Amino acid sequence: MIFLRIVACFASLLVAIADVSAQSLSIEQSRREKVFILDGAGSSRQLVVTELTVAKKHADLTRDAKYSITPANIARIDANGFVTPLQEGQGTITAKLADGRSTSLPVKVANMRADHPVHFNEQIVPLFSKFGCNTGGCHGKTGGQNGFALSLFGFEPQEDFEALVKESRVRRIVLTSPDASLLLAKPAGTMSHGGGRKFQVDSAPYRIVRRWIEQGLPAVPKNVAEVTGIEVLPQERTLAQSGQQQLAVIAHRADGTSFDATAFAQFEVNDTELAEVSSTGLVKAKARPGSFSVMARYQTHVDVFRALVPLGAPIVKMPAANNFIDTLVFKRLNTLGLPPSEFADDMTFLRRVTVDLAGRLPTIDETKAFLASKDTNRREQAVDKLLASPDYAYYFANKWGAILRNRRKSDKDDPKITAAFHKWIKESLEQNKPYDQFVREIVTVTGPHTEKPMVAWYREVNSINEQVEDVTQLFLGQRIMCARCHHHPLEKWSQQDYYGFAAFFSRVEFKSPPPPKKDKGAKVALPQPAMTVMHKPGLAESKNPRTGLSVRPTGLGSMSLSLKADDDPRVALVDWMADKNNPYFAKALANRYWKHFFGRGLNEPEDDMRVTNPPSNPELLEALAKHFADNKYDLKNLVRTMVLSNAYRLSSEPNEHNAGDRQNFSRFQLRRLTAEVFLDAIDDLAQIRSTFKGMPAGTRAIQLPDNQVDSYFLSVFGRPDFASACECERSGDANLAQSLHMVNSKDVMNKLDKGRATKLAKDTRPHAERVREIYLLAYSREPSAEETRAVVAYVERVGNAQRAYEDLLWTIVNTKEFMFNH
Amino acid sequence: MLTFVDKHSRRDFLTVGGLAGLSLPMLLAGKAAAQDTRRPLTTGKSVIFLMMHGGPSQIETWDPKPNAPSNNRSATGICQTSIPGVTFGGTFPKIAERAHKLAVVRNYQVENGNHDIKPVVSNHSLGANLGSLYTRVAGSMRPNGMPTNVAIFPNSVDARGPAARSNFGNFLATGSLGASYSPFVPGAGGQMQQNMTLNLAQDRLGDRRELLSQLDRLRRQVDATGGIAAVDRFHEQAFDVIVSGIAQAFDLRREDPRLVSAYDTERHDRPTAWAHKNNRNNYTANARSLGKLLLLARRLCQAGAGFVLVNTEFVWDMHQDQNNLGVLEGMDFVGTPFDHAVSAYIDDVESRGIADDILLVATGEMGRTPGLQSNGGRNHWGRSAPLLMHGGGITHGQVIGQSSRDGGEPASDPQRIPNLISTIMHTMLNVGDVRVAAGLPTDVNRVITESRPIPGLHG
Repeated sequence: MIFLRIVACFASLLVAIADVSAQSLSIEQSRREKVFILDGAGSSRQLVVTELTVAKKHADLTRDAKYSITPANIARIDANGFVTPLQEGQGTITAKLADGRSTSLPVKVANMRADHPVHFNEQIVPLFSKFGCNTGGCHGKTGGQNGFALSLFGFEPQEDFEALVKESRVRRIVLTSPDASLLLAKPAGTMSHGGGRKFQVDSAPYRIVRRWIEQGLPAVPKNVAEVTGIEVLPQERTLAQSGQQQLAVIAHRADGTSFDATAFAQFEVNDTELAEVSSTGLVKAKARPGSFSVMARYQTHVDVFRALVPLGAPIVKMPAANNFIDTLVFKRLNTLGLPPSEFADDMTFLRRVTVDLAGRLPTIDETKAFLASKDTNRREQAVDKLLASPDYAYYFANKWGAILRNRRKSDKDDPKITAAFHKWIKESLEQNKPYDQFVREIVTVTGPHTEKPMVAWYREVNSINEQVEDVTQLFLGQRIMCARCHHHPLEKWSQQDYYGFAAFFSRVEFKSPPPPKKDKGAKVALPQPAMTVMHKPGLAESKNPRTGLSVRPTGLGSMSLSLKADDDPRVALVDWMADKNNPYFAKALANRYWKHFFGRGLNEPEDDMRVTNPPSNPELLEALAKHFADNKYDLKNLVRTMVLSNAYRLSSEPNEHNAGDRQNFSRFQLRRLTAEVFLDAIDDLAQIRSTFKGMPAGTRAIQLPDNQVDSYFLSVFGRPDFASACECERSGDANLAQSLHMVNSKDVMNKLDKGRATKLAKDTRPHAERVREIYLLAYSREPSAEETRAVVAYVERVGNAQRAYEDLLWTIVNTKEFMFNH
Repeated sequence: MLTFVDKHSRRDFLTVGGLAGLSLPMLLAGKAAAQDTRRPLTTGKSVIFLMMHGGPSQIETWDPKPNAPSNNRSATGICQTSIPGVTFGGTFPKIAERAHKLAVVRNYQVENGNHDIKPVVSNHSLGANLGSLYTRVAGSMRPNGMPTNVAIFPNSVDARGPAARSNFGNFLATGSLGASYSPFVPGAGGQMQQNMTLNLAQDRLGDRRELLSQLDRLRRQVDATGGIAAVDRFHEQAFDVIVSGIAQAFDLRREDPRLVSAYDTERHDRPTAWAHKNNRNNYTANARSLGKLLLLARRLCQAGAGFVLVNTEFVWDMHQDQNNLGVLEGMDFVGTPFDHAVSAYIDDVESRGIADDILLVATGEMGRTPGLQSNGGRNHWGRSAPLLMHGGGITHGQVIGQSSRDGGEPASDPQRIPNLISTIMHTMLNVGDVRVAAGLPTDVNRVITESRPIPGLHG
């Protein structure tokens, strides 16, 4: 309740400054910057004026303050707090509010008389990025746009320099009349430009480019240290709905000097439904609660501003916490003022958890037993029973098999290899093998596939690049593929990181005996030659193609390792990954499983946990990862913790406040049954099992070992092709082909028309009881009186019981309550 | 998720457009303008890509070099065309008569002389079928249920015919786009085609629909992601498709038998003539299916298909060896059904007044060596390849570019696969709008917008 008052109070503060006593006012400064300086005529500063209220809440008053500077002739400050230098000197900047409060800051303006040459890499190339000139769609693509080529995202500033000052007889620049240069006339719109007008004549960027031309196109000064990183000010804030926050970007050089790069930085919001950001770094939250981040990019450097936008709705009753997940989910909902939905009833819970844990609907016996149970622990009991069942192992083997790429290229490919790997995955999950050991056995596998089924992973992931990219994405939640060829603007990983990681796989050797002699008469698929993965002793290293230098095995963001020639570097890799302090390993799995049970990753997508895509609830992610690592990477324990949290029990029905919430887990996120689960559910209801070519009769879809079992149903409902480490291959999206298949295919109708429909038609029980049975089977709940009445009326109206029950089963499988886990 | 850019089927247009003199693009633009001030990304035009698989000679087709030495010039002689001063190879008299409706490109080349399917699937197209790129922008299905990207093979019109061949590349590849952008392949009892035809008495479907609306109680509000609403929408659409009978578009029996007969090339099936060649089945399949395939392609475009791939079978590889016919016989046996089918197609779409709505592109994966070998074959050659186009609103009656004296390479300004892709994309899409459209993968955007179309075709 105290909290609520604070939120309300905070909101009013933004509108009018009420209580002025004991509230401090300051101008944001980087801790690493000793002097607040404007260095040279091309420099600028963005002021950010912050108020810290008694309640420790921050408010951005940058656009409310009036600015002055003494002496007045050294710099100019506009209404948005943007400072440009005028003359050398030292003085004081003052920001003053309407209520009389003020704050000041000493400032120094230097090097105006002996001006610096414009720094091509610091001041020109970032403009190409900021205005999108060097993107892949424009001048950044190979060959450029209309002959003018810039390096992609400005990663090769030297090439950009040459494109301007040497190429095409310097046709883009007119030294004697800078304003007539194509480089200015095109983006300023004084000459037609396919990319449109990018800035105004005489705007700040215009003046910088113009000055660079006037100075005679100076090359990059040798005496200025390189920028090593950027810092966004502030780093984190709570904003009101529709609130605003000015950002500043400070760039730090290797020699300890800094400068304000706000005018040169690019800003991007990760969730445009929640906020937008201007090119000057002004963040505007929309009228929607949640959290978002704004990425600032300058040269190859990125930093992130994180914002929380509370809803501030009254929370009448927060459910009790059953474990630490609840504590942290509900804490966040409290902070946001976002009331969670009620708990779903226990029958809904049973269906939900059975689908999520075992990949099937509850059997009628399970449903009846659960209904009958008076035990207060009946949910725990159900979960434990499911976790101990082979269905749990099959369902998660189905999940892991796809991303571990347990794949056959064609149906002529020997199925034994994938079957063995599938069996190994399933058994590992069934025995609850610690996750680190599971990963270790795959990554460090040594031996022939006949003895070590995990070789199947290397069979598919058979180049160093794929090994690097799959391992980082699968087990570390990092997508590093861009760094193979270039530094990606949104990533922190460089080519050095990529090839340091690649060195772990540099000693992997494949051995295949010669293929057996061709037997022309044989019609059956020939067995694949045994494939062996070995460690080839020697120095583990790889070459960074950009520097041409060799790199030792290095974990991401870690120190490079010196390994002996006999050490298998893959062992060192897994040692590094499975270390309790590894910042990625436990988090990646926790986030992957969180998404499985809660419908959306804390980082979303779940395997893209880069710095610029921060989690929606960082504390929760930390806590889950710690719990997982502390419990020796016990998967069943993690799963149990998640599904027995009260957060998992919340209904999917929204209340008046949380209908739009997707990232804070204030209610259950609905999802369609996956292709395999859906097919099995129809089969179970129809009591007719699909047959799969090459598989024993009675095989369920979730038990299929690889991608090569042909099924139109599974393809059309988005079964993955097992071709990448990305879970995104599996699609839960609806499409017309699915609807056609459900509504009108002989495949589905033939099943529904035989089996259970026939049995029910011949049944002698009253229709109401038969209908109850169908409801228990399909929805794991009792039909309402109204539903029973409607169905019985339909059956009686149709008259022909066979036909009526066919219609009814068709209807049931086409209801969304059946198709979705809810 | 499917996206629908236009709300009118081509069939709607044909009805409305025929009466009111509106073009489909105008109609679409008008429709879109009512809801949205932006132009739609699609133009409403279609492309039929006629893949001349095997590598057709540029010389015996559209660049016969009548004045070159005898071991260089067209071995099959020449035909005067309807454009004064322009000649085609001797086996194409009917196409030559219609040259004023066509454009041929004589400065077209590809990067190598390898058998593959590079005009349709290559690294220039992100390893995806060109139609999949279109589908990525336009959505995979029209509201009437017609898939936007279709690939047809002999078995689509002839139960005896082969399905898609994949030994030189997968025509159905979707590269990095994902399987949901795969071309729709009709024929041979495909599941989806069956699902389009009502498999139940219509009144019973009505009963079921009513019962469903009574029992389906999970509300849309429960779902923030729109999955529920999408299922509802596609179910509604599925009912419409089944009842409206889009499957008929795939059924040539719905066409006037006289027209089918005019297209049909089966009369050019001469099994005894090529019995001695290992590729005899290809020649037969080609002759039996080509005409009907073009007719089917036209029907599909009319029903709303955007990109239709037609494959001629692997018949243009005229080496004169144990597998393949030589140039002289080959052009007779393969060129003749081609001449027949393409000219029947031209007459048909011209007389229907829909020529400007469908661009026909005919090309192969390469050309042939300028020098005729002593055995009467020509070898693989990438530096020049034949390219013929019809309709789609291009400027017709013209020869674009010139080749060198021996027809072995472009004399200037060579046009390549990216230019061809660009020409196709400019026909089907408002490329300028695609360039600034949100939500497309950057590489798809790049492939569609990066290159220039072949000059002289568009206005």
